Amino acid sequence: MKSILIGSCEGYSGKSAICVGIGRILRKKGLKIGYMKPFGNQFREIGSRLVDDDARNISIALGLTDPPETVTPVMLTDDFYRRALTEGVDVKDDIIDAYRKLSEGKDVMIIEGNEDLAGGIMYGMSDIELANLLQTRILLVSRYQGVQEIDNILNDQRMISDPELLAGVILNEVVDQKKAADLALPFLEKRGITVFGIIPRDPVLKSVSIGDIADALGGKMLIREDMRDVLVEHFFVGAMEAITALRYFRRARNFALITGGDRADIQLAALEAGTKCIILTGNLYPSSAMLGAAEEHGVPVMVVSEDTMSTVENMETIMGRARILGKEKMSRIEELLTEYVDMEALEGAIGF
Amino acid sequence: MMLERFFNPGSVAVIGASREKGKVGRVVLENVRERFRGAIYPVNPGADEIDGMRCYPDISSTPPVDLAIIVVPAKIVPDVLEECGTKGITNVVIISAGFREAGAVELETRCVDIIRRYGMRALGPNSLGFIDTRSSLNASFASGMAIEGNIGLASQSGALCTAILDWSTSRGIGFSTFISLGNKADINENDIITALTADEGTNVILLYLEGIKYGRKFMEIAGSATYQKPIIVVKAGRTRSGARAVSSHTGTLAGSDAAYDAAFNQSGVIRAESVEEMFDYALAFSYQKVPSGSGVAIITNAGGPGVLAADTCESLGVTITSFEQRTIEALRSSLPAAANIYNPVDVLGDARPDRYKSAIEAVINDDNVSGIIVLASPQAMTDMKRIAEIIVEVSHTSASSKPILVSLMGGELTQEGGRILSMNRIPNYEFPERAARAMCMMIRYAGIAARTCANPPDFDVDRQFVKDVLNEAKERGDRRPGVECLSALEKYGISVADSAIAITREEAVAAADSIGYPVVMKIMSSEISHKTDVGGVRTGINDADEVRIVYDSMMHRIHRYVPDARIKGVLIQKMLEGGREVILGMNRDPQFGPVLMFGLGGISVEVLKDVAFRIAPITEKDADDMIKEIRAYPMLLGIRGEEPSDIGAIKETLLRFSKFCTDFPEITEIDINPLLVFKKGCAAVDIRLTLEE
Repeated sequence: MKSILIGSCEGYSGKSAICVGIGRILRKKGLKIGYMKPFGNQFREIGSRLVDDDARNISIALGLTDPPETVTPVMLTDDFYRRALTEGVDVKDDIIDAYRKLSEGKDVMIIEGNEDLAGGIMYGMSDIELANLLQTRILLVSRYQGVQEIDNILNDQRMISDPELLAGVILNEVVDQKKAADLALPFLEKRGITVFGIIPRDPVLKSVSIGDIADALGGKMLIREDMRDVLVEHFFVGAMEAITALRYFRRARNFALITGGDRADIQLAALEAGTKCIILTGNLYPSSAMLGAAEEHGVPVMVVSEDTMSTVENMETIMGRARILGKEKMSRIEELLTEYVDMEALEGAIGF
Repeated sequence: MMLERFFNPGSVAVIGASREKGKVGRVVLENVRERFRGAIYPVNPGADEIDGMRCYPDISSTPPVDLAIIVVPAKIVPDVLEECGTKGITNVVIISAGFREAGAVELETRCVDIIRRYGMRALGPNSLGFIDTRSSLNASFASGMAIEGNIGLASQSGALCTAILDWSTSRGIGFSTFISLGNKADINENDIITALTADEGTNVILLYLEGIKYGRKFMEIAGSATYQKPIIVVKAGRTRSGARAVSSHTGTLAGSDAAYDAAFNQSGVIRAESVEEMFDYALAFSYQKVPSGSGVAIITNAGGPGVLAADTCESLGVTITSFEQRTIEALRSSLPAAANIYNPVDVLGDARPDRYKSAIEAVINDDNVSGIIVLASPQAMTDMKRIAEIIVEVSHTSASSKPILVSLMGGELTQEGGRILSMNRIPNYEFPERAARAMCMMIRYAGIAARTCANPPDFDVDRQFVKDVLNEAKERGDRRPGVECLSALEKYGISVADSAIAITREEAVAAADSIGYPVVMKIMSSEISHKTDVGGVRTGINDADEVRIVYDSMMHRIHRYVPDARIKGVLIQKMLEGGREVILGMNRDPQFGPVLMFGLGGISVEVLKDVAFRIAPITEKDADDMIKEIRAYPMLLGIRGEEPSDIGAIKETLLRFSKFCTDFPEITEIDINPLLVFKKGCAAVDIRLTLEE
């Protein structure tokens, strides 16, 4: 049986999408694919269990039926960290057990790593230790925003230290493809790092349109219906006071705000910070002054009937599915990998 | 120091008297001279005489002076005050403008220092002056003297003074004292209320205010004055004025106007919505006696006006009383068969004055009736003049002192009748609703004057404990402590849901085990103002495993949605079932101190803003009134088969909360939201406070 660990230099690089894409491409070739995400960090309560929502979605996307607690044997809860730092934890056996079950009868295991390569050092199970434990190589996914990213890749290479362990890298979400090909690619290859592909930034992949959000939430758009096609990448919940909220808003882009209709302070703060869309919960309509301000900023405002917390949950589903499960998205991932990644070389690196 | 002598001086100096006709210094002198019988000393260094009066070069060279009116340029006012002080003059009116109102705060402060140093009392600066009709002194630059009467008026707007003066003269409305407060650097509304309350010639006190300088003092002074005579206030600036940012429910709902409303209410002051309304009420109090009960009778010659008046009364909570049997019989025997002999009495459109006479005579002796509203619309047979005369006659001959308010509706046709009523001190209004409102205010005032004086109850509490909790929060730089303060409420005898704070997951399990399931888990973080929005509150947790999962999931959510929040732990609380949610709040008003709020929780507060306000400390009656005042009160009594809520427990909690708010001035806002009220007892479930910076 072959395997590959997909790790990344930093969080939100697109590991999940690449896991799904590679898995589906290999499956089409008639291979039996398994999937594991040993460490859960996207919690969702399902029934009376805490599961990793992303891992669950990926399993579904790959047509797998393994129980969530086997796919993700370790949940990185607040309490887990507390124990790791006080009495110490040993997760080896749990991981090996789960891996054994998941890989039974499979041709290839795809293992999704920690949030970043160094994640898990504190409890003795960073991606490097994990790769050694499961005897697999590491494929790095780098969210390549510019040449500065090369430092991170080289740093990871140094951390991995064993050149055999690093299979290579995929540069993802690349804005300037040509520059990456001209500069980064030859440089990295010279340093002994295989670059399997340069995937351009794809707006469809990581975001959802305001119109889709409105449809999925059953929201009523009060103004700026014309902005339905604008894309949203994150959302914020206005659970804090305006001043605190403004700090968060300013760090993000392409975000939507979810808050109660009666919280004008935070709505105005979000408008100032450049929100793309305001979602008002509890069927509470905003003041006309606020609507006027939104109109002026060209920001659509929608009202939904559910309370903030349920809306957030729905939004999580929409955004989560958007990332992975949507039909359109899945075929888009496959398209991108086929077009921009040297799959043959990658398969070779996995061991085929 | 009392102001008696201020408005009734034996001698007056006009400092800054001018030779030039039309100048303020000249107008004031002429006004003083017009009627005043005491000695008058014009002061002007550049004149030997003004209009035949001997003029003095400075105030030190005049004979002794009781009242000095200062009309000199602002910048030399301090020097003049100094001279007045040296001479021993205790009362001054500063008409000069160009002080605080023009940005010259420092100049005004200097004046106040001098006034205080010499123990003087000063009206103004930037005042129009005052008129006192008993001493026949017009110490103002308003044109014309007020008519003598029993209304005392003080206004913070000089422009409004001149307008009212002219208008009232044309209506024959008389004043005892007419005062323009100006900048209120020394004499303010509180001094005026004290003076006018002591003044036997004043029956009703009118105030036009833009702000109140010493809120607590105002409540104390007005609160005792209103036992003796009515105070009617028009307070301008209904919109929010305090600039302090608010972050609680209570803060949002309690604009500073809510504080004024509460303060007026608690001190028995009647608030009028407009100057017109103020005079509608004033006329009633000025001309008629305060009723002794609350039943109103309406006599009309047409259905419509009668219904309008009745509607107005009902909407203000005043009952259109039913008559005694003998009244009904008397009406039946004297009125035509088609007439309505029940209240409102309709004497019919063809009524001649004698029908009014017999109707009023029948009704005025009814023990259920405390006040009478007589309405007349001009119809073919209506003799307005004669009706007016008859009303006057009955009111003079009747042994009763029940107030009669009249509305002769119309214009031309009613002028003569109106004049007759006015001359005989019977208020006449152009339309029935205005008469009805005025009657309602008289009845309201009767209740105010008769209210019993009570002190806020005191409770045995652990003040030091609360002090320590607040200090601890302050020390960690936490200005918005939450559920950890529930224990503080408990020390004030307010029952709270059984709860414990847990820092770790296993502590949470242990806490839940000892409290007993089901429990509620709440995140504790001062950065999170809306816990439920981010899943920071979970109810119905049934066992230890669930505590663990909820704990993990809650922490994850909080880290994710409010990544910077400092988490103090979680609160594990006994889950209380059933019960009605109410909210108790406090917002500290810069003028009046802690403004308490009460309302039903949820939609009732957030959407309908159905809340009641009072200023702490409150009495038992205040607490009762707060609960009954909200529109949703019947829900607390139990509707549609629901059990009634323990209103006694709410009341007790309000009183204890009032003490809590009064005892800790460093708390600027509190929301207890919700307080769950059961059939028996209640429990505070969540709290959030703001500490001053």
